[in-house]
Amino acid sequence: MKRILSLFCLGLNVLLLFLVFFYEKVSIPLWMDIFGRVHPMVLHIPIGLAIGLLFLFFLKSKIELASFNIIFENLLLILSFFAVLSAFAGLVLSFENGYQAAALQNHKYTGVFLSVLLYALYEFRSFFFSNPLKSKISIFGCVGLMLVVGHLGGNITHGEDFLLGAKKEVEANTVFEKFVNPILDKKCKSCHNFQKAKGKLDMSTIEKINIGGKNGKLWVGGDTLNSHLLKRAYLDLDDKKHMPPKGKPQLTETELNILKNWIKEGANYETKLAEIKPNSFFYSLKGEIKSTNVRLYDFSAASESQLEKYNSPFCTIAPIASGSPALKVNFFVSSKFNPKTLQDLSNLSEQIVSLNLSKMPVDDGVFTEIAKFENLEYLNLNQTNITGKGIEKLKSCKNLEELALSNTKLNFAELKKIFNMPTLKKVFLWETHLTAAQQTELKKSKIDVEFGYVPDESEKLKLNTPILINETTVLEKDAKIQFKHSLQNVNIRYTLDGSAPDSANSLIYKEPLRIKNYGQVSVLATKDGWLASNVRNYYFFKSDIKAKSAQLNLPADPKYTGNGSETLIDGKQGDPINFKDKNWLGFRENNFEGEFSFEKPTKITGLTISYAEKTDAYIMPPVTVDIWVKIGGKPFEYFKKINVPQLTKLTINGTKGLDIKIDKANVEALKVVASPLKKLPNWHPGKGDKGWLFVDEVFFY
Amino acid sequence: MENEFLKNRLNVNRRHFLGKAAVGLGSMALGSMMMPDLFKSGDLASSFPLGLPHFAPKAKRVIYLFQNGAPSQLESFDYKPMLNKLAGQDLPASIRNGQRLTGMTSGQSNFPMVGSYFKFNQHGKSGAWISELFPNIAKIADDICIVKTMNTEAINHDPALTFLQTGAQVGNRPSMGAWLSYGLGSENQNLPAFCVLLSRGRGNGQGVYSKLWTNGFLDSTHQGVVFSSGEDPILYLNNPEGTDKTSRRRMLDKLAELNHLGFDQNADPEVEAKIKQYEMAYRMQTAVPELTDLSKEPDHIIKMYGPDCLVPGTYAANALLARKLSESGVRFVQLYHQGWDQHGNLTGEMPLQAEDVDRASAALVTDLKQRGLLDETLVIWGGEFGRTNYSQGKFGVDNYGRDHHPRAYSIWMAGGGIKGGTVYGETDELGYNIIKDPVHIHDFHATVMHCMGLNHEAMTYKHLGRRYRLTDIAGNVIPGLLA
Repeated sequence: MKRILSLFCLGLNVLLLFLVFFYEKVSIPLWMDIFGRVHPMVLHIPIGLAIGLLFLFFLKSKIELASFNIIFENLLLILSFFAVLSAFAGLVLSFENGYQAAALQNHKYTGVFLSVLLYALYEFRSFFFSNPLKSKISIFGCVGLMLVVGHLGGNITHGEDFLLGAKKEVEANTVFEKFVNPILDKKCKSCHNFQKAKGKLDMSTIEKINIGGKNGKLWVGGDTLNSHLLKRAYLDLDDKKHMPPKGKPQLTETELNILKNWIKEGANYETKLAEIKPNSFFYSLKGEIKSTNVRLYDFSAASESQLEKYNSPFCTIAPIASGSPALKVNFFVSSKFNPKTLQDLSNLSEQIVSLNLSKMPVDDGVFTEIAKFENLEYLNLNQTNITGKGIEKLKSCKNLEELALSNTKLNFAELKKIFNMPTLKKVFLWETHLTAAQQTELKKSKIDVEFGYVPDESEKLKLNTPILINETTVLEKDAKIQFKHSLQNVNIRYTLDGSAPDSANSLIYKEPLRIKNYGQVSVLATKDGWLASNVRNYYFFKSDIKAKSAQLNLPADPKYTGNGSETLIDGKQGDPINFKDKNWLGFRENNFEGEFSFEKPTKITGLTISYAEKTDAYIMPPVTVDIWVKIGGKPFEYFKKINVPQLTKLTINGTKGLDIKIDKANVEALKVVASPLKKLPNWHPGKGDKGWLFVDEVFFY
Repeated sequence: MENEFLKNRLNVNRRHFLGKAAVGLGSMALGSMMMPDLFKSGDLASSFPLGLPHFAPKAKRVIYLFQNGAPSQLESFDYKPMLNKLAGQDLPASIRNGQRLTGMTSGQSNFPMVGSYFKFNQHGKSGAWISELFPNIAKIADDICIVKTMNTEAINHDPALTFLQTGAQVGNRPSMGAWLSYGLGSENQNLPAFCVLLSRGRGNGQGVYSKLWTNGFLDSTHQGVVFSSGEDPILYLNNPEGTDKTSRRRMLDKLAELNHLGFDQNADPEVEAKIKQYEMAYRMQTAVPELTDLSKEPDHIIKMYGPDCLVPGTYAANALLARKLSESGVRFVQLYHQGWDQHGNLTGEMPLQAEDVDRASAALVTDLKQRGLLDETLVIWGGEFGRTNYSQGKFGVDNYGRDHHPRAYSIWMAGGGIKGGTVYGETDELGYNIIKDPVHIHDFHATVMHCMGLNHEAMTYKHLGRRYRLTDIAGNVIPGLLA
C-alpha cells in the first residue's frame, strides 16, 4: 500500500511537471474538468495534514522512537499524496478559467513546487531528516510554503458552482454547431464565458456572441476583413491583442480556415448541414454531413484486408469516396477475366454499389452473381455476351438506378421484365438491335432510355483524303509513290498535270506511281454512298545529281540560318509548320543567292527549288529567279530569268517546288538567285510590308 | 532512525529505479494524451487519405479536348452581331481600357472591329448560339455547358497554355492530369493514369511541349504518357523477337530485385517509380491490343466519328482512342489539336480546323452518353485564351485575322457533374469584356477538381518548404456550372 502510494505520488508529480512545462500545448479534455473542480475541496487536506505533521514533530520527545518513525513516515507520505493531488487538480482547473494571469502564475508555480518538495522530502527522508537542524528547516520550510501557496490560492477568486456548471452536449445539425462552436468551446470560451467574460465578451450562447464584447461585434457575415475575431486571430503572436493570448492553446490552421470560411460564407447560424452547397468550404469537410444529394449508407465498411484480398490489376475495388463504406468495382482486360473473382465478391455483397463488367467475357449466368449485390446502384454490362435470360434476377438489387447494356444481343422480351423495377432510372440500349416499334414501346415507360447514335442512311459524309504511304516527298532514285485509304472499297483518283482530279474521269490509282523528276500529284477519294473527298496536292522532289558543295553568297536572316549552306543539299526538307526547324533558311532583306558546284562537269537537265508557302506568316513564293551557269573553266555566265507566278489570295501552308529547265552539258557550277517579295500585295493583311522567302533544298537532275 | 534511513537508501537499487522510471514515463505519456493537436499538422490536406476522392464525385475521369492555339470565340460560341454592324470602326479606348497588346498588334495604328464571317444559329433547349462551323457540336447543345466568360492573365501561347495546364504561368508545376493522378490514383493499373494524344490541323500552329503534361515535383509515375501518332499508339510494347512472356517476366523480376537493392542504398523514390513503370509496361502488353481493337464495335462508329478516325494521328482517331482509354479507366486523357492560331486568313483556316474537330468532338460526347459513361466522364473543349474583336493586319469583312485576347473567351464542358444545356456568363456587346459571371482559370480548375470529388484547397503537396495546389492560392468552385 505504501509502495503504491509512493509510486502514485511520483507519477503524479512527473505528470504535474510535464503539464507545467508543456502548459501552452496542452488542453484538458472535457471529462477531466471534474478533477479540476475538486481542487477547492482537496486543497484543505494537505493544509490540515501539514499542521498535524508539525504537531507530531513537537511531540517527538514524548513518543517512542520506533512508533514516531512509523507515524512520521506515513504521515509524510499521505501529506505528499494529498499535496500532489491538490496541485494536480489545481493545475487542471487553471486550464478552465480565465483567471488573473499573474496571480494564477504565482499560485501555480508555488503549488507545484510545494508538491514536488513534499515528495522529495518523503523520498529522500534519510537525507532531510538526518539531523535535528535539517529536520526543523524541512518541516518549518514546508509548512511556511504551504501558507504562502494557500494565501496565493485564496487571492484568486473562484466560483461556487463548479460541479454544477457542467457543459451539455447539443446535437449538432447546423454548420455553426458542428464546426464553429467546438472551436470556440476549445479555444475561446475558457476566458469568455458567463463567469469570466474577459473583455466583456461572453460566448456562452449565440445571443451573447451576437452582442459581442467591449470592442464590438465579433464578426460581420461575408466580410472577413472587418471581422474582429479574425483580426485578432491573425495578429502576430507577440502582439498584446493576439487571440487566443500567448500562452494559451492557439488556433490551428484548420480551425482558422473553418472560422474564416464560415464568416466568408455569411456567418449564418442557421445553415443546416443538409443545406450545404457544393461550392461551400464545408461541403467536403470530413464528417458525416447530412446532405440531401449525397446518399448515406448504413451498412458497415468492409475491412481493408478483404479489399486487399480481392483487389488486383484486373479487378479494382475501392470506396466511392474517402470515409464511405460503399464500394465501386471495375473489371479490366477481358483476357484476364476470372469468373472466380466475381464469385468471391459476394463476400462484399452488401458494400458494392457500382459494378462495371463491360467487355468482360460473361454471359447470362452473370445475373445470378450480380443479384447478390443487394445495394447495387450502377451496373455496366456493355459489350458482353448477355442475351438477357435471367435478367429479372436483378430485381433483388433494390437500389439499382442505372443499367448499361449497350452493344449486346439483348432479347426484347427478357429486357421488358425489368422495366417495372421501381428504382430504375436510366437504361442504356445503344446498338442492341431493337426494332423501331420496340424502341417506341420502351420509351413509353417512366425510365429514361438511351438508344444513342443511329446512323442516318440519307446523310452523306465527305470521305477523308487518301493517305500517302511514303514517309517523305523526297524520292530516292527508284522510289514509287504509294497511296492508300483507311476505308474499304474506295477509289483513289489522281492527276499528274496539276489540274484538279474529278470523281468521274480522272485516272484511278491501281499501282504505285512513278515520276521522272519534280512533279505534282493531286488525289481525291470516292466511294458509293459517300461524297468525294477534298482534293489534296502533293509535291514530289527527286534528285539524280548531288551537288558537291553549296555556298551562300548573302547570309540568311540571323533568325533562320538553318545548318548553314549545307542545308540546301542535305536532302532533308523543313517542317512545313515549324520554321525554326534547322532545315529552313529564311530570307527577307537579302536575296537568296546560292552557288552549287559539282564533282565533275555534268549534264544538268533541270533543277527544283523547294520553298515554303505560308501566306498568313508573310512567307511567299520568290518573285524572280535568275540562273548563272559555269562551263569549261570560264566564269559564271548569265543563263536565264524566271518570273514566278504570284499568289492572288491567302493560302494554306505547304512546301512547293519551283522547277527550272537547264539542259546544259558539262556544267561545273550553278548560281541561283531568288528574290523575296519586296511589298506584300493589297489583298494581304500586311500589305506594303516585306515578304519572306524560305528555302530548304535545291534538287538537281 | 539513522539506520532505517540508511537501509532505505540501500534499497534504492536498479529495479527500483527502473520501476519508478516507468511510472514517470507513463505519467508523461498520459500528459501528452491531453495535447489535442499533438499528432495533427494543422493542415487540411492531412485529413484526407491520398488516392480517394474527398467526397462522392460526379465525374471519375476527364477527357480534355485542348484546341491548341486558341480558337476564336467570336466565330464559334460567342455571337456578337454588333461587331458586324460596327465592322471597320476603331475599338473605343474605353472598351480596351488599358488591355496590353501582343507584339503582333502593338504597332497597329487602329483596331478595326470585325464581326464573324460565319453565320450563327440558335440550338437546343437553351437556345445557345453556335456558329455554322460546328454543325455537329450544335446537335449536342443540350448536353454541353458553354462557358463564355473564361479569362486568363497570360497573353502569349506558352504562358497561357502552361497556366491552363498547371495553374501557373511558369513551368515546372504538375499538370492537371498529374495532380488528378496523384490525388485519385489510377483506376486501371494496366494503363497510365494520364495519357496525352497529339494531332495537327491545317491552320497556323503553335507548339506543344512535354512541360504541359509534366509531373512537376510529383512522383514521375504521374507524368502524362504521350501516345505515338503512328499505326502503333504505343511504341516498343511487343517483346523483342526470341523473348517470350516467361523470360520477360523473369527479366523484370530480376531487374526489380536489382532496383530494390539500389533503393535500399540510396532511397531515391524515383527508383521505386521506375519499378512501378516497368510493371505497368508489362501489363500494358496485354491491355493495349484489346484497347485498340475495333472489331467488336459496329461499323457505324466510323461514320459517327468521321472517316478520319481510322487514320492514326488525326484528331478524330485520337477522339475515338480517348473514348476507349477513358472507358478503360484512364483518369485523364489530354488531347491537343494544333493549328488554331488565326492571326491572319481566319476565314480560310478556321473552317478547316473546325472540320477536323467538329464531328469527332460531338461523336465523343454522344458515344460516352450511349454507353452510360457521360455521367461519370467530364469532357472539356477549349483553348488557352480568346481572340480579339478587332482585326490584326488589314481589315476585310471576308478576310481578317484576330490577335490574342485574354479577357474573355469561350469553352464548353459536358458530362460528369456539369449542368448540360446551359450557357454560363456574358460578355459585352462587343465581345471584349466580361459583364457577368467571370470564370478565371483558377476557378475553372477548382470546379473541375470539385467534379472529381476533390477539395481544391485540401489537395496539396509540400515542396521546397511550401505547400502547392493546382489552384495556387486562389480559385472558387463555380456552382452555376454544376448539375
